Amino acid sequence: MVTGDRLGERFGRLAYGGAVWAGFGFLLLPILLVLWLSFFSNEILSLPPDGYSLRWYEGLLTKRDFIDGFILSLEVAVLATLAGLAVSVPASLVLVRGRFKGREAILNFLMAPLIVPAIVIGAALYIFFIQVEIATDIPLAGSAPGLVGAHVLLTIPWCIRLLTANLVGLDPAIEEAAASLGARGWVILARVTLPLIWPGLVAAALFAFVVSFGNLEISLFLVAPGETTLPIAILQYLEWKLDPTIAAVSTLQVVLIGAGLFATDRVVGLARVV
Amino acid sequence: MAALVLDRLTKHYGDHAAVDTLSLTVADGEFLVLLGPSGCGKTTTLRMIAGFVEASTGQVSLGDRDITREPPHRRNIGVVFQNYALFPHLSVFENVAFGLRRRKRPEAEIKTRVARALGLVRLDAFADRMPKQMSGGQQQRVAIARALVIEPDILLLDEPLSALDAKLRLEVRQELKALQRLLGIATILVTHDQDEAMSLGDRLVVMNAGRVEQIGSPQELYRQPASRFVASFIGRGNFLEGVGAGHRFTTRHGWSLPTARPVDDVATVLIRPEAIHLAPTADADRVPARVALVTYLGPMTEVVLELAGGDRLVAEQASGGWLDRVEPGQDIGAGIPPEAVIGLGAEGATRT
Ligand SMILES: Nc1ncnc2c1ncn2[C@@H]1O[C@H](COP(=O)(O)OP(=O)(O)O)[C@@H](O)[C@H]1O
Ligand SMILES: [Mg+2]
Repeated sequence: MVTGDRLGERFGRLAYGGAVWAGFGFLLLPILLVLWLSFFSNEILSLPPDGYSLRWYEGLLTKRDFIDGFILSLEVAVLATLAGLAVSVPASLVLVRGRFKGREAILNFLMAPLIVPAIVIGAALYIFFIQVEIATDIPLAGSAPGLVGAHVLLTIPWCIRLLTANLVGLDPAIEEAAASLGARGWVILARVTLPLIWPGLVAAALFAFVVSFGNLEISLFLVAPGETTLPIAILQYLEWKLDPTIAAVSTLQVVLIGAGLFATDRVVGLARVV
Repeated sequence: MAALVLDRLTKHYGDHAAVDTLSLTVADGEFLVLLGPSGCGKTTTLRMIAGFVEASTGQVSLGDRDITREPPHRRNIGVVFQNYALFPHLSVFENVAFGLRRRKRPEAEIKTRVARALGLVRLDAFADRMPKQMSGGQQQRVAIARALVIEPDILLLDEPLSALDAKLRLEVRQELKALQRLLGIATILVTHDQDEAMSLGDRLVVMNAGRVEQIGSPQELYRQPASRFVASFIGRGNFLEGVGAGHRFTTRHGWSLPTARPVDDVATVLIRPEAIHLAPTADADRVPARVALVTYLGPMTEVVLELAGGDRLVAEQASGGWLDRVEPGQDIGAGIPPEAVIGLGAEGATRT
């Protein structure tokens, strides 16, 4: 009996380990494959490759679409992240500290963009912007504020999630102590609250940046004619070419985001905040 | 002038009154202790004084300043919290300097005042530490220094010792008392621990369900509790039910005993265990009593007595002599001086 139990336990542990590694493999394999492909020298994908080269990376430097797309994505993501934080910091403070009617409803409302498919958000915003334009002559669709505003919807849920998680662990007595010592509201925020949720703030900024930077569905509806974000540039390129250029762009993106994650982990310890 | 006056202070949460028309005065340099069971409104009272919660009605005055509607940062009140509430991202020095920096004091003055405050709590050597690197007792002393350095008009402490272990609690308690005497700062401390209250307070305010039950010195509260609630909260006692008339109280079991004060309309009397004088035999001053239980407590021996009528009394007397040899079942004598029989008013009513 005892041996049977031991065997069962051992088998269970093996199966568990196997499942974990299979999961990792499933997640990582495509990325590793892309990484590998980006160095193939042949234009038409085939295995094994004819040879290896950096020509796809060099080629990127001459492709205006990708460069412009990268710059626009960067601008949009930075602005959407800053705006998302500006909204989410006060909202999180109120949501964590406050005990009022409708608190749950507001929280769910702010988290909603995580649940609604991005393509639906994009289409809905497009229609909404057009209606607004018809009514007021303010051209939102295809404008920079419209695009950034739409991306802010994406960044808010991530910011709220990470900030509230950090704020819950912050003893309100610490802020009260600051008040009793003569600190008014904004001084408390700047000197006590924000420094104490700093890890959450950094993580929120990082995640917000990543979701905005990688977003395709919403941008697709809202970019100005002739302009592209990086994901749109990739999509458009794929429509008539299938060479490893895409793999090179993707690899650069992965490296960029990976570096961001690594730096964040160094500064605040990601395991602690996410 | 009084340091602090609370005038009919009230806080409602919904239709529940957490604090109900509470009035009290703290004299300059006085150490006042708010004592009461959990949930009786002590913290809410303190938080209204500090300005963290708004009073529903009533008034808080600091000196001749009405501060009822002032935000906390303009009150100049030192607050010490149960869980220290130090700024974890700041060094001990910066924690203590925080209030002075808000007051825009020059750097040199900050240096000397922080050093002096840390000296008061014997933490001079710890200025560069982070709070995390210190023990609970040390952290609480930093919190005390941080509250004192701003020279507050009053110092508020909410169960400041309850997060410490028993030995440290005694140590910090002594230090707190010495410090308060030294600085002569008006102080209110909240606790549910009667020992702490008795040993620290010049005056005690016993609270029950949002109201003041009684205010007085530790001696007054012990000797002349106004209600059964106060009597049972401070020290231990025998409570006998019955009817009083003139200078005589008759228990439900028919035992009649003389009292020093008139006990008309009194339904409960209190007899403190140590007020009962035990002797090996009954006599004119001592009623016969049978020993039910003996507990040796070192310097004191506790004896549970059964009286002929059925009344039970707990008595406590210095150990030694015949008392060391007393056995359950033995018949002895119990003397109860008339002044030891204290008539208690109905719940909440003050009676002296
Ligand atoms: N923010 C609040 N909302 C609702 N009820 C509260 C709040 N704070 C305190 N109370 C209630 O007020 C009463 C007194 O609480 P408190 O002042 O914390 O008591 P104590 O400090 O004596 O234990 C309790 O019944 C408590 O439940
Ligand atoms: Mg309390």
